[in-house]
Amino acid sequence: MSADAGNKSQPYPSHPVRFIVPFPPTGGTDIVGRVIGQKLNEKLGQPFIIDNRGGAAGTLGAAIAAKAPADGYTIMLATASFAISANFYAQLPYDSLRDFAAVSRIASGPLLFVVHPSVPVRSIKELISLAKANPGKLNYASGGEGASITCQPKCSTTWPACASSTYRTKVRAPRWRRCWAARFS
Amino acid sequence: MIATLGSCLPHVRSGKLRDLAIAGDRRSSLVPQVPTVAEAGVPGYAADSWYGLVAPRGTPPEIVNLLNREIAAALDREEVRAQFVALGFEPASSTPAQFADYLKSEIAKWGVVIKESGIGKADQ
Repeated sequence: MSADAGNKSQPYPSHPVRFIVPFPPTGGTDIVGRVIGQKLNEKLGQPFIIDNRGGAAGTLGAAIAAKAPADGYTIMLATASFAISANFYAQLPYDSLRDFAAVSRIASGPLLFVVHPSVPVRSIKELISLAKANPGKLNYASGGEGASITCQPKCSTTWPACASSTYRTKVRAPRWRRCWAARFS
Repeated sequence: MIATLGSCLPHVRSGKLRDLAIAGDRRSSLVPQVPTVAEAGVPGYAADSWYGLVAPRGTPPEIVNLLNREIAAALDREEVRAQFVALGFEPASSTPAQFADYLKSEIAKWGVVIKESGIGKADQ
């Protein structure tokens, strides 16, 4: 099975494919990309080279993919963050629906609420009680504004602790403003 | 913290993190003892992580279809399923049209959540 990329004498893929993974190496997204990339390589006979473009909840990588030639030699792994960022960022340098062709869903994966063992709670209910009793005192980590793991405590409409703004403080890993400036200035 | 099951399960198993609940709408077979958020007292809460493949708009349909078929074939392979499950992921293939519809529905869902929660938008 093969498809042509504009040149009938060159079955696709005739050279390596850039596979953008819009998150850093070794995370869950990266691993999914590497497993699939390896299988595509084995079946189609060309390397699918993982290009980690982390930052700004995956929007840095998506911006690169959106502007790449539509010749089959650039593909991207999309995640739930792709759908959240489409709404969360007032402006993106791409249109999340119009600038991409959907290829296939690959996997779903549950998210897990975890705490450091020093936090004295054993359940979500206890966590909510603790947060309400200590407004602004709990920190949570995130992978960037608009990432799925950021939005969970912040914006779920059914998350009572959010409504009372008890999750006030957070530790933000990447500085997305700086990321944008560095990549596109 | 909220993170994918695959990324935090090793730390839960080593005792560096404590699990509280699964964010999705059903328990995971990997940690069957961990309740969902809904079971733990916050009804209606359900959110999963997901993965899919996209390409720049205008990518030739024959290439899209070829990649789609190869991904479905890869996800059918036992060793790939085993790798995904070990990492906390559930393989889930689709047609390109199904994934396009799913993308639209996810973008719409999070639009509602972000609007109703009033967290506002991040500007540039």
